[in-house]
Amino acid sequence: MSKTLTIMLLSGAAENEDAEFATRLALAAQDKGHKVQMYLFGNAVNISKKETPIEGDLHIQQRLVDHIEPTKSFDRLAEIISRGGDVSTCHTNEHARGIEFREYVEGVKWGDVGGSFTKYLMTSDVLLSVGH
Amino acid sequence: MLFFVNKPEEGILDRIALIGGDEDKALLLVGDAVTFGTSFWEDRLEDLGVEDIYVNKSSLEARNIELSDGCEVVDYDEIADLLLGGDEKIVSL
Repeated sequence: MSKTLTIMLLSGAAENEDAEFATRLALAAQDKGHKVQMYLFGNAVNISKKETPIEGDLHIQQRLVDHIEPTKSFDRLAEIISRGGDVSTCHTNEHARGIEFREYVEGVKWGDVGGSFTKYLMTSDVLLSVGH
Repeated sequence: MLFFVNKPEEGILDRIALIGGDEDKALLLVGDAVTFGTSFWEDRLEDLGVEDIYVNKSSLEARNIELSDGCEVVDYDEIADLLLGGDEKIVSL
């Protein structure tokens, strides 16, 4: 039977494994036919924004780049949404970080606790809070 | 009752006891919380009535630590089944 998994993610991609875990779990749940809702709160709002690549030398050793790239979660977030996942942010947390103006990953919704997250809570079978 | 744990904080064990009471308990350990799967915590978890311990494969491989015998290593596919495949109550700590 299909269920609805809601993940409240509180960590960004570069501070620990939470974002990588949450996005990989979301994809695995979708593979099994379950519905996924993600609410991005705290530093997790950073993964809601399109990556802005720089040009030229990164001044980062290739070995470190190879370690970092799989932990970035922008592409997995876009895939979750393309498969029907419902992903929204806390816009107040975006504002606090000075990034509210930046363009979202395709399909991410502007949101808030009182509206978006409350709706998720009321329509969840399983809720995971993933953060530190 | 399945407890999702991703932080290696000892106080979480008190919360598991408080929330779980006399119910059967299982742990799903991810991130740094996989350290609860080592032999150091074995007696403490047994005293809490924890019967099953599931450990995220990628978190374990990243740390190269040795688990106690009672742990079962699970990938994302299996974690999705644990969380969504049954009627067990899930508690996220």
